[in-house]
Amino acid sequence: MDTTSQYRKRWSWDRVTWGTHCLNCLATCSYRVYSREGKVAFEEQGGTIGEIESGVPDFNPLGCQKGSAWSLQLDGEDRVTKPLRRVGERGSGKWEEITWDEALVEIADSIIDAIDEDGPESVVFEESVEGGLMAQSPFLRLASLIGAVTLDAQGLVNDLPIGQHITFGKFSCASTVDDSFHSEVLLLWHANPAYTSIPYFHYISEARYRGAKVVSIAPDYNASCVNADMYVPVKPGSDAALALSICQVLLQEGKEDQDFVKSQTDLPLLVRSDNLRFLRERDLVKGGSEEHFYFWDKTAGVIEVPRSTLDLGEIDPELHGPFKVTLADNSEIEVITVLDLIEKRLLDYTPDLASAICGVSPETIKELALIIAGNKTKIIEGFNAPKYFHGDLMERSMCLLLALTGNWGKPGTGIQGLALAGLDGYLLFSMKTKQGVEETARLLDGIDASMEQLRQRDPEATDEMLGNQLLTLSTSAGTSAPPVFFNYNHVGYKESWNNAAWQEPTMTKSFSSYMEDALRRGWWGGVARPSAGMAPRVFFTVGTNPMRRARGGKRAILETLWPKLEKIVAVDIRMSSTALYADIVLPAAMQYERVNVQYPITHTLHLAFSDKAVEPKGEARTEWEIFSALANKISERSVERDIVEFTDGRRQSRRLDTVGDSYTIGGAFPNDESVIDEWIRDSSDAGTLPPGTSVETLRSKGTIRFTGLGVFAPGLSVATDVKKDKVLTAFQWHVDKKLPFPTLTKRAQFYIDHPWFMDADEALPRHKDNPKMGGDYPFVLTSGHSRWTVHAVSMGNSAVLSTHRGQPLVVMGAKDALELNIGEGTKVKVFNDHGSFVAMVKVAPRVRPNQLIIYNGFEPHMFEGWNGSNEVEPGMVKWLHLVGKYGHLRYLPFGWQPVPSDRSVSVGIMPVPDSQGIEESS
Amino acid sequence: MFTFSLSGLEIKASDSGPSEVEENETTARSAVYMVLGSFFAPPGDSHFDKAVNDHWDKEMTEAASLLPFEFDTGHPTIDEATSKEAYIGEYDRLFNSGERLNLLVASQYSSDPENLLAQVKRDYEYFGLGGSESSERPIDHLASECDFLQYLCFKEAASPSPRLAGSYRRAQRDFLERHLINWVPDIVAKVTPLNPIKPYDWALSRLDDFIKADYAYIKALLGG
Amino acid sequence: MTTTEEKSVSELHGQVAMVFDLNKCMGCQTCSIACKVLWTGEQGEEHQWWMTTNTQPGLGTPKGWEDMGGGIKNGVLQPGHQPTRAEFGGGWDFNYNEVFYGGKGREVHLQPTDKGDGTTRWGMNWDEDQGAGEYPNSYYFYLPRLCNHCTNPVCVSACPSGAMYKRSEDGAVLRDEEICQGARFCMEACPYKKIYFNYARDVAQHCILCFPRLEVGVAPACARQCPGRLVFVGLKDDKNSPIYKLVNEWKVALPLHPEFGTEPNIYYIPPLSPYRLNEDMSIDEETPRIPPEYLESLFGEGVHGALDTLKSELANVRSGGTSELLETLIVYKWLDLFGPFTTDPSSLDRSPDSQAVTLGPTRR
Repeated sequence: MDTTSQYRKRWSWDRVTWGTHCLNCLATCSYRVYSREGKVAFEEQGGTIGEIESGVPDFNPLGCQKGSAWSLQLDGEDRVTKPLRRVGERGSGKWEEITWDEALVEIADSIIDAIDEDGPESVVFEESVEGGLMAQSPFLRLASLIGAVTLDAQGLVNDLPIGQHITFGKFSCASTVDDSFHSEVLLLWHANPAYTSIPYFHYISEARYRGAKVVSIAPDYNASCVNADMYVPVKPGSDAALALSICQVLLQEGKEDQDFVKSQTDLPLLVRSDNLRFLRERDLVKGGSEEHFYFWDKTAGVIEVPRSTLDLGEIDPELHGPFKVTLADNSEIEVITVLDLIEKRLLDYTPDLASAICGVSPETIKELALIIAGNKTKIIEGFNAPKYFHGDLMERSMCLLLALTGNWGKPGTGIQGLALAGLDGYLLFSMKTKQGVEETARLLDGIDASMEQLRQRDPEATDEMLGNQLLTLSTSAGTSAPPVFFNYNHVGYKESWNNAAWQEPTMTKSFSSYMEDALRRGWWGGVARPSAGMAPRVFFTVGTNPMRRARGGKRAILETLWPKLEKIVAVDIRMSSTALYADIVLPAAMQYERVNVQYPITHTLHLAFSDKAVEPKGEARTEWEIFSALANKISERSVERDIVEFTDGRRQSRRLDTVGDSYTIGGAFPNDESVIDEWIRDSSDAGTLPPGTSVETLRSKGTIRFTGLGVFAPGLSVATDVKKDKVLTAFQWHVDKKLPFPTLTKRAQFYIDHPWFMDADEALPRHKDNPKMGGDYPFVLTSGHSRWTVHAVSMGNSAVLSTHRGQPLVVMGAKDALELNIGEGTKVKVFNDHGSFVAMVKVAPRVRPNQLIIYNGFEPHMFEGWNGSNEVEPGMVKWLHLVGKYGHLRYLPFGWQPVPSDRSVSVGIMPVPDSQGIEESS
Repeated sequence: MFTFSLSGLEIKASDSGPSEVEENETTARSAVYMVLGSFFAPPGDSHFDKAVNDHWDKEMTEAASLLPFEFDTGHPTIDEATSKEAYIGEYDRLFNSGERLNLLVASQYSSDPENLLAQVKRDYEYFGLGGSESSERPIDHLASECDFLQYLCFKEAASPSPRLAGSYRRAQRDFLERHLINWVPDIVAKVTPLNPIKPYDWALSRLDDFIKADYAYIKALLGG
Repeated sequence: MTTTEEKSVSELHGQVAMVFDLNKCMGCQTCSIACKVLWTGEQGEEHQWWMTTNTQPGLGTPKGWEDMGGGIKNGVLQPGHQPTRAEFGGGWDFNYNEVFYGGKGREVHLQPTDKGDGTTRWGMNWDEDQGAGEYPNSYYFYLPRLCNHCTNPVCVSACPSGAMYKRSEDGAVLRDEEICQGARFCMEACPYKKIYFNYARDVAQHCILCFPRLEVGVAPACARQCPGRLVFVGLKDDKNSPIYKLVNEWKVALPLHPEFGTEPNIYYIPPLSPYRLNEDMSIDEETPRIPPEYLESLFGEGVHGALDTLKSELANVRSGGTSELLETLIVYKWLDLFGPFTTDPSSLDRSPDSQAVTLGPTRR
């Protein structure tokens, strides 16, 4: 065949299906998958999304290099294709292939043993963020049928914009990414969108061409700085000082948006000068409420803050005190406003003072204030801030900046949050006892009725607040538990968290004291599971990878948790580090080999569908198939072994023999397709997808835009309406409809008058130095996600590995390398009092002095001795996040909870001679 | 938020439906679909008897009496000369002979019949019309699809919950739009040149008119 | 109505050109991967990357290619170095089996296998994000590179066997692999070093301008898959195309290393960069971060005017004005990037035995 024909033939196919990769990248990229003779040949983005808002660039083509190489990974060398059982020590790499039936019997029996002897809370699952909804939900279904514990994904990965939550009572300021096109100022802050937001990045460059100023604020001159207008080099962990200083300049120059501040925030609220607590109704009236607060109105004096609306009506609150009020006991006290306190605080953050902390020049700080004031400003934030120990302070300060300048709830403004909303059918599914529309109506009517009941009890509550209350009710019988307790009791983090040398120096007592205090006060009642006395026995990781991800590395996971576990089951598409250490590895089908939907994220507001193009490789199965089979096996074995009835951790009686039947609702849901179709039809029926949508619609269109955000908390918390011909702008209900925020004060709250926060001097945001986590060493190790992989998923893709060095890299600055005699491309050891790892170094002038960078995603088994970068991360947790039952500081699934930090861990670095194996060099 | 389960939320059972369903425009529409469905089912002796005794006329007129839109029920007659064999044989002559096989089955008109069948099956299941596999005729037979519309209208009328009633109503529109409206004109086009005997000609033209009128009605009711 | 196939042949006579807007390139490598997955997955192609995106300043791939010679000066072919396998690097094998199933536990770890041929010390993007300068004034940007399908293709001139040719339909420079003897003079001659060698089949290979796609009205994979929406495709001489305007009217799109003499048909809009910082970390709005002489060394003296135009247009829109240039560069509708190549590939019949695949587009 001649050459031109040869090449033409390579670009041929006999089947086209839709595909999406369902990774935890916050993208919903729809690809066409081209197959030939039963094998996937290649993929290419569909590019079929029509214009949403006139005058705003369309989404096409989405995609990234990882998705575009997915087809190569179906035959990746790290794929698991048969059930495996270890025959050597855990992690020895010695396996035997077993049949599915053998695997399921063994796992079922271990679950039955655990339930019988200790109760179902000794069976623990890590919740997952990876793999699409058909990977993330089947094991949850089994867990809830047997009363197991599922560790809240947020507490495992930590993508919790915790400072946003402290401020807004939520972190769902999640406009669609094309909303950025309306911005006049884009602050890339705690984010590296050139690496992590590849499908959406063009909106930043397009906004720039439209006239927006793009400012990248980062310690190192990262890839997102390359196409920015300004690079603001900030010392790692000092962003609060920077943000507060910009606030200081704005206030000093009178550039704040007073109307916005008065209606949206707690800045005009009155605070008692004597005890620095909010003035509350119970201060003024005997037996009064703890949750009613006050303004000082220009004419009427002390007046209660409206609780059911942000609309002030005739009220014109003073922004500055002091004033005098008479208490219930007739004594007179002075009160001031929150803004008074903020301005006092900001005296510590004048440009000169702040500059000494954050390293940004005073001129630049003033320049930033000038740029931002009066301009539609959006902070494009990633999930970097939460991973700083004091990330909450940084985010709170950033939110204050937006508050002072009126920058949320309008197109082109806000701070990029996270919201998964719109697929109401997915949330309904776990409550269904029958398939079909009647059951859907029953549940939705029931939710309406429940909301109405709650509304009777709390007439001032918005739908969003009621939705949160419903969610809280569900947690009391659900499986989700914040992992902080599991980690403290069973994974040995207690020791690290009590290590004063690594902790925040201003803590007044040990971490354990705070923990015990929080539990005693009932702040985590019902969700601190499994209890300290309940050692875990059976552990499932379904597409999660604690061996790689868990800060604390081997010390925590391998040395403390692992020995307690009788059975460790890993379900994955690939041999991850965790699978290497598991007892049984079950092969999961990959995208293109199964049907699936990506989680519904408001970044695009599109539901992306992935079709089955080819059969799963080897004996791989979908998670629905695996867990429904396991459910049946549990039922079968329970009958054979006569262990049928049991009591769960909440003292409810349950049965094991019905688990299989319940799982598929009597066979009504035999496979993935039937489940997805139900979700989609129910969502369409609930009005969040277009009328008449079914899985067939998705099969032919690949992607479809949501028509609503739904009736549940996540959708309601975005606080906006979906409009067919407009980008989605979050928080419009607060600004346009003046609906209150789900916080204690019902406003964006900058003053947290909880005693613990006050003791820590964090009632208001401020800067605090990073604790010396890991010891006293000269470097800080920052991190982030790379462009090369989403978590570790692409580490088996030879093409993608070739686009970097295919191995772990520590990036360091040129000056530091020179001083330490470290040559480019040589081996280095990074170490602290917690642990160490060895990797190749990449020397780059873009890295700040005293900064080291290691990008997230490299598997420990890619490092010598399998010591991954998490070996130097103690995984410290901030004690203030143990606060509960203070307004909005209470647990919600995937929400407020203590989370592990890893940024700016304290480390040293030294060259090592070229060594193989696990010997330590001196 | 990614994956939490609301399995812990307890939703109380709602009230059971009304004991009697009053007759109204929705039950009328249901009744017309029932008449059409029973006409297009494979005929037996009773089918012929009804033609001879004017019962098709009576049934259709009664059914259509409360319709909320204009609909000419027509006047089905039968030629005196038509024998029972000829009458019953006409069904196959028109719909299932020679090159025109199974003209009353929707998948015949589709480029992806397997897919269409799967869709119809799921539609029936989702809306609670179970046991469709056990029926003697394919689920995408015209009579079955008319029965489905009959069912959906009835369920709408009988729903205790306004929300559920709305679901059934939307289902009627969607099913008409995705199925009947698409392929019924094709039947009529293929069969009309064969000069169907009375009252088959009446049934075909009433079917065609009714689904168009009903679709327009239901679309307008749901706001376009 | 003519079919797209006919249109692509009969109406399309002309040089296909591309413009890369480097102000939008984030170095994601989707273009590189799109090409790789489609074209270089067969035997002997493992290390080949017809499309690459490198960090500039940098040694790129092959390592140090800018100093490897080749090209043409005053009508005379210049001597050039034939890049070695090690200079390209890459094509690594990994020891998955050993790590996962070798029973050696932590004694072994996953890494590129060293075959002693130097290929583990370089790769297609080894010096990614290193760049030059000194913190905080380090600078770098991304440069996607592919065969330039030059108007004066020295590879064709240098080819001793006549295997290489430039075709008139679209200006693609192609190689008849049945004629190619593996002499590799093309690799010496090409100053951009975008030609690879297939050691398994003894033929050279390089970017084919996605001609099977162009023939049926589909844009090249690198352009179409680019999530940055920065690759314009069109006919160089079509006065209505954005390409023409960017190159000839606004003069913001420039060839790479014009001094190589080959008249490349791939153009670049040069990168702006954030302000430099003074010693005290205050902003220096005067001194460009990327030294202008460096950009001139890449794109020729036209780069200064191009950057000035971009800056003044940006200043214009920032003060409330409008700019046709920037409106064009925004690319409101994705399909507007691709000129006449807007066909959706999924709409085509490309079954392996179809006419389109076996015979190509109908020829007059």
